[in-house]
Amino acid sequence: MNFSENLLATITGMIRESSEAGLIIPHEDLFEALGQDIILESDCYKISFFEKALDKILEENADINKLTAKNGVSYYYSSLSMSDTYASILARKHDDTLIADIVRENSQLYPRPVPLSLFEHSPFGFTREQILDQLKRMFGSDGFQDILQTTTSSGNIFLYSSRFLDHAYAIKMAEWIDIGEANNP
Amino acid sequence: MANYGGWVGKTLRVDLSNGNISIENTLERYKDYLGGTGIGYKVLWDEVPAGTQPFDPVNRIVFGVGPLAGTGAPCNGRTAITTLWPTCWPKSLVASGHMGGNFAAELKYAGFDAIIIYGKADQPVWLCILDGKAEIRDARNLWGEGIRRTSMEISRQMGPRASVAAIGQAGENLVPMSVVINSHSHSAGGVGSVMGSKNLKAIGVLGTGSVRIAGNKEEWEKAVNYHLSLLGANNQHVVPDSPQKWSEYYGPTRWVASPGRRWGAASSSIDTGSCDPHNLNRIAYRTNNAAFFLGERAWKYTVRGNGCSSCPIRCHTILKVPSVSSKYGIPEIGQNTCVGMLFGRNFFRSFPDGPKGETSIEACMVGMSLADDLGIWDNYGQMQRDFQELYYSGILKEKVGSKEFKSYSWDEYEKGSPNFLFKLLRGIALKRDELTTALGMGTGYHLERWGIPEKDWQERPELSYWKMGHPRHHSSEEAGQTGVIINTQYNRDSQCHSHTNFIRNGLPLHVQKQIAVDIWGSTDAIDAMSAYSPMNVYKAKMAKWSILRKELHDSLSICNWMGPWIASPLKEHNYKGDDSVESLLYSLATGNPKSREELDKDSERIFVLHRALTIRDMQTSDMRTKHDTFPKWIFKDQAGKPPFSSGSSAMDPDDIKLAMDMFYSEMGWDLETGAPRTETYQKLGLQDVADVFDRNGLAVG
Repeated sequence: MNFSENLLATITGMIRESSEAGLIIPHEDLFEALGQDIILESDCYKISFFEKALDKILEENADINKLTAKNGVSYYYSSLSMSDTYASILARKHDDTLIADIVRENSQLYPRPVPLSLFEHSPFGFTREQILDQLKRMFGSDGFQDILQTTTSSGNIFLYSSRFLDHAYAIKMAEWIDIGEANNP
Repeated sequence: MANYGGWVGKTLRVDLSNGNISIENTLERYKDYLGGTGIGYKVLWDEVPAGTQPFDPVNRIVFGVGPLAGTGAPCNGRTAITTLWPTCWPKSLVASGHMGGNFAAELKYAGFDAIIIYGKADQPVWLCILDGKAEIRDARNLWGEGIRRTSMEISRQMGPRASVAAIGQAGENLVPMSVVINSHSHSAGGVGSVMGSKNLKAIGVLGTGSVRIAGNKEEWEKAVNYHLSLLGANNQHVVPDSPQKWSEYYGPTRWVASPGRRWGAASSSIDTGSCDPHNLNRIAYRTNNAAFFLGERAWKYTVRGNGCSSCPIRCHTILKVPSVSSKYGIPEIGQNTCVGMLFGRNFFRSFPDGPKGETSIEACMVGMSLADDLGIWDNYGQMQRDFQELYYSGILKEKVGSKEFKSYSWDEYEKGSPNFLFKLLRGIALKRDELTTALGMGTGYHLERWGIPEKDWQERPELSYWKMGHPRHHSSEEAGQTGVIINTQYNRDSQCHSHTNFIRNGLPLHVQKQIAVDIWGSTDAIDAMSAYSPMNVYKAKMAKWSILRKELHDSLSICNWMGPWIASPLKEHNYKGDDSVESLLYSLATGNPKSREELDKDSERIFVLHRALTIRDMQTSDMRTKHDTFPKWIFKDQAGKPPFSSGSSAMDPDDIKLAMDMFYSEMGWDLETGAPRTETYQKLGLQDVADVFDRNGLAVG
C-alpha cells in the first residue's frame, strides 16, 4: 500500500505536536482529524488504510510510540518530548487501577512508598475525596490486597505495595520523606 | 612564576592591632592549597600556635576564595571562613564556615584571593576593600546596629554594588552562636564572635576588575555550558518531585517546579512550568525551597528564587508575606534557605494551624528577620532542638530560676506564637539573661554550664547531637556507615554534601548503583536508605571520595551544597554526570592543567592538613578514641529493629569499628590511632608537618 509523504508527515507531526503540549493522542482523534486526507488518498477501506499508515509511522520513526489502555483505546506519543512514564500515566488516567499501579511501580522501582498528595497534583489531578473513594474501594478487594497504607507522625498517609516493600521499610521511608527530609536539609 | 588565570594573585593581610595592611603573593605561598579552606588551614598551621583561644588576638580569621570564584563556572559563590571554632567543645579547634552570596566574586574583582585578619582593633572598625586597596575605617557609629543597617550604611559609602559581610549584635557581644552575613541572607555560622573579638564589624568589598581565564575562551564557554547541562535542582536532585512530560523518573526531591505551580507574589504571577533539563534558561525555576520546606502554601508568597553569583540554582527563596508587617512589625519580605528559613519555626513544637499553616510561615518570617539582623547562628538546627528539649523536660525552668522563667510568656510559646521569638532572639544576641547566654554558647558549653553530661544528648536520636558541641549532618540515618565515617572527621558538623546529594537525588536505586560502579568500583558502595548491608571497602572509598570532594569544592570556591555532579538529569547519559568537571574547569581557568586524580591529591593534602591541625591542637595523635567518636544513638533504631534489617537505620558496633579501619586504610592512616603516618604527610608534600610531629612526639609510624 502506498502512502503519500504528506499524509505520513501530517500524522507524525500531529503526534509530535500533541506530545509537545503534554498530551497523548488517541487513535480516534487522529482518525477524525485526518479523515478528509485519508478519503482523498483512498476512499475505500479507509480504516485499514489508516491503521497501516500508523504501522508504517511506528516502524519508520523511532520516537513515535503506541500505548493501549485497558479499555482497548490506543494512544500515540513522541518520545522526543514525552517520557514513557508520563505517557503511561496519561493512558491510564481513567483506569480504576491507576493508583494501585503507581503505588506498585514506586514500591518496586525506587523503592519507596508514595504520599496520597502525589495523586492530587498534575498529571493525576484527583481531589482528595476521589482518592479516598478509590482507596475505599481498593482496600480489601480482590487484586488489591497488597496495597497498604501507613500514617506518618504528621498524620499524612503513604501507600505502598507489600509485594515489593515490607512494612518496616515502608514506615521508615514514609516518615523520612514526610518529615526527615525537611529536618535534615 | 607562570602567569596563571583563575587566581588574581594577591592575598590581603590585615593586622588590626597596629593597623598594618600588607599584600602577599597568593601563589608563592598557597598554590598547593588552591584557595578557600586550603589557604585557611595553611595559615592556621603556620601562624596560630597550639593552645590559642578563638578570641585571642593571635587567632586568624581567613576569608578565602578559590581560583573558580568570580569566573563563569556554575555555583562558584562560596567564601570559606576558617578560624579556631568558638563552639567546638570542650576545646576550640580548627573549622570553617561557608557563605554564599556575592562576596567571593566581588573579592576577586577587587583584586584578592583571600583576606587574613588578626590582632584586635582598639575600637570598632570595618575593613574597606576597593580595587586592590584596603583601608581600616571607623565603625563606632555602626557598633550596636544590626546587619541590615550596617550593610546599608557601608553600601551607601562604597556604592550599591559593594558586597558587605557584617556581624550583628550577637557577634559584637562575643556570642559564640553568631554568624557573618553578606548579600542579605548568606551566612557563615560560628564566626561572628571571632570578628567581634577583633572589633571588626564588617568587610565591604568592591572591585571593577575581572578574573582572567587562561584557557581558550571557546573551550571555556563550552565547559561552562557542559557543567550547566549536568545541573539538577538544589542539592543536585536530578529528577522532579512530580511526573513531568519529559521525565522518566520522579521522586521526593527539591526539583519542585511543575506546570501550575506559580510564584504567586511576583509582580506578575509566574508559572514555574515544565523545566526540561535541556533548557538551560529554566534552571532557576526548578527550585523553590520555601515550597519544599514550608509546603504548598508557600507558593502564593513566593516572589522568586535568589542565590549566589554565577549560580543558576537560586536555593534561597524570596517570600512576601504582607501579614507579618502589621502583626509583628517586621519587613514583609524575607529570604533564606534550609535551616536559615526554618530558624524561627523550629523553636516551636506545634502551631495552632498545623506544621505547615500560616502561623508556621509567619514564625519563619519572624525568625529570619531577627536572626539575620542580630546575626545569630543555630548550629544546623541544634539550638532549636536543645531549646525544645530543655523546656519540655523541665530542665530550663530548673536552671534559670523562677524570676527569669516567669519573665517569658510560656503560654505564648506553647501556643506557637511567633511573638515569643522577639524576646528570646534579642536576648541571645545581647546575652540578656541565663537562658539566652547559655543558648548562645553552643550546645557543648551550654550543657557543661548547666551540668548536663554530653552523653545524655548522645543517647537521644531525636536530638541529632553528634559530638564536640555539634549535630550530625547527613550521617547514618541516610548514608549508613559512610555517613558515620564522614561525621567523625570534623570539629563541627561535617557540612559534607558529596554523599547525601547523590543518595537523595531521586533516581531509582538500580540507576544509582550503576553510577556507583563508575565512581567507587561497585554497586555495593550504596544501599537503599535504612536497609543497610554490612560494611565493605567500597563504602570506605565513597567516604574518602566524599570528604575529598568537599574539601576540593571548599578550596576551589564551588558549592558542595550543590555538587558533586556525578549524576545528572540526562537520560541520554544514563543519568551519569561527570566526576572530572572540577578538573576541566580548574585547568581551563588557571592554565595549570590537572587531572581529576591530581586535584584529588591536592584536596587530600588540604584535608590531611586539617587533620594535622586537629592532632596538634588536641596534643594527641589518638584520633580514633579521642576525636573520631560517634554518639550511642547510631546503634539504636527508633522502632527497635536490629542492624542490617529492612527499615532499620541502626548501626552495629563491630561493623562501625571495621568501617573506621577500612576508612583509615583507604586514607593511608594508622589503624590503631587513626592518625596520618609520617609517610602519608611526606607523600602529600607536608614534610613540614611530619617534622613538627617528629619533634613534639605526635608522629605515628
